[in-house]
Amino acid sequence: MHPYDHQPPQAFWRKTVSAKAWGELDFKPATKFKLTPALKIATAGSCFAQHMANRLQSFGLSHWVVEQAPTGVSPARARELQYGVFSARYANVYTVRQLRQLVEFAFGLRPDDSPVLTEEDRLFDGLRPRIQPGGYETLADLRADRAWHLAQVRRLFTECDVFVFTLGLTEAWVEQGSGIVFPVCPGTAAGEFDPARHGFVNFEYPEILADLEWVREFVAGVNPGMRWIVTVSPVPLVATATKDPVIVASSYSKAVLRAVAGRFADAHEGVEYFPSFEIISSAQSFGQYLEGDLREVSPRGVNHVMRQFAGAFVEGGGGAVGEARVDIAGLAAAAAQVECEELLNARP
Amino acid sequence: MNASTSRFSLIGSSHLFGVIDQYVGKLPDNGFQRAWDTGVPATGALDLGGPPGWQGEFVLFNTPAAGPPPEVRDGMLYLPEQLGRVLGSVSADSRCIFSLMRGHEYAVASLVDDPAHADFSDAHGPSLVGRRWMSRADALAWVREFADPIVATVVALRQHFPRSHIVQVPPPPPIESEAHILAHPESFGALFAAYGIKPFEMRLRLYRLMTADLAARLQPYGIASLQPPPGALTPAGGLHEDFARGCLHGNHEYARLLGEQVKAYLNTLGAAHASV
Repeated sequence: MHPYDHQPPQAFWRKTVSAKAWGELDFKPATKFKLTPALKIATAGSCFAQHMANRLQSFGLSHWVVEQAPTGVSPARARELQYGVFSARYANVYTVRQLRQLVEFAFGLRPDDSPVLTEEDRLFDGLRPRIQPGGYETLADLRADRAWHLAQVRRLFTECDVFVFTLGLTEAWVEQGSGIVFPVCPGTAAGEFDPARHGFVNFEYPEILADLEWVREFVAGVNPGMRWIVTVSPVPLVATATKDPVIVASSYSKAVLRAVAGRFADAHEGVEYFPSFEIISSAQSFGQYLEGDLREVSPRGVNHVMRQFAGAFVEGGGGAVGEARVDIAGLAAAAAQVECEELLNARP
Repeated sequence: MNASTSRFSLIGSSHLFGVIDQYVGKLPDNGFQRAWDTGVPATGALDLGGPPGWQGEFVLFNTPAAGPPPEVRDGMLYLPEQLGRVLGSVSADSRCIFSLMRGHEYAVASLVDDPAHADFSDAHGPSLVGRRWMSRADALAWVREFADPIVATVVALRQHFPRSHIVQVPPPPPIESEAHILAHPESFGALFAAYGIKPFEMRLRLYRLMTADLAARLQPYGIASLQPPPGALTPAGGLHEDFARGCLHGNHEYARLLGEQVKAYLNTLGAAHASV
């Protein structure tokens, strides 16, 4: 007898990966907790996280949108203003440091002197440069919108039951002095790049894990019952600011984030890891879920991820999700709606 | 009417009550109730005490009797038959027609502090601290939801009376005193109890946005717009409670000042016009 004799079938490559079709593999046989319709489930993260947000309701779960569009704003306009894309209008939160500073801003742990970008008399929130298409007319407008947003973020972390966070990038740009992290490099989505003010950083495992632990501990202080589901975006970098080729930089980035997510989940009873990254990016998938650019995830791939998600976290597997006919046109349309500022890094 | 006298008309619904109180009094034959019950407008003479050479009339109707709100879509006016009948109650020879029609669409939006409502900034100041924010462009799109029926209705009036002067009379600005509104909640009592009253600054901002937009959109049709009578306003620009009727309308005193505005406008047109 040896320890492997007691391992379940999923522990053996030959019995599972070699023996089953990719779509039949169970990537998450057990979870520490389940999701139910009564739970307030909040979402944040990189652009891949938008798929999570989009699909939760189809499993009978509640995607808790704490920052709602004002009365009188049409659904199309609300979408343009990114209401409901995530639980609040923070747009894509690519790095864990961004998440940490969002919490710090929301709870008044740092003054809201966030950077403002300008372009032709219009003002842009440096931390959400595309949240208000065309920018703001006045600084007062920008600050008012931001103050309301941060109040909603505060409410989100105070009241939500489950926070689904998708880790996206390790690379980021920071404002020298303040250390504030931008979601995208200034000059891409709005404003101008200033090499004297804007510096590049490629966050490393220890500081990413420390940031994530800090957020968990802080939020536990205001909302002890909040649980986490962390996942890593399988979408590679659009562009890297390192000296490495983008595919090498992507591998590094995803490997670090995957390691952080795993360590974070292992360390806490209230934290789960969900393997979006493995479902899409493993070589054994033969790249079947990649779009023509070999970067974007196809609607079919998203569907696989979310079917696994529902099977793992929703009692009964989320109803008919697994058997439901895939509305390719609908999924494609939804995918086309995904806001990804990172794409601007590769803008010609 | 002889050729040396011109006719003017005031047409409206609840915003006409103050005018009737001030200048007409109780309508004969239970006319008000009859208009409300039958949908047939009540009409009669309106004597503002001038200007010379003008003879006035009122046309009072119950808004639902005018049918669903008309629409202007892609430059085309879609007009319910009922509104055509109501407009037909205005004398065909009216040289100047003042419209006090509609305006109720924005009543709830402007009064009740629905938490989903947002504030916006304008030339008079920034949005209120602690309030959901929206851009002025988005606020205008929202305001137009309830201003569009007014525009379409007045454009319909323009179409019916192509040779008349058409003047849009805006509803009174919001009443500044919340105490007065609470004491006269009309049908909004339950909503006030649930949500409260929208802060005066927000109500005024909405009103200014709506009336400025209305005037700008009506002007290309050759439709003039009055401003609320300055004498009825508080220093902040709201309706003084002494000039209020209920929580949304002007009273007979407001109507008296409005009557002066109407006379002043008619004076600009000149008296004794050949029949139109």
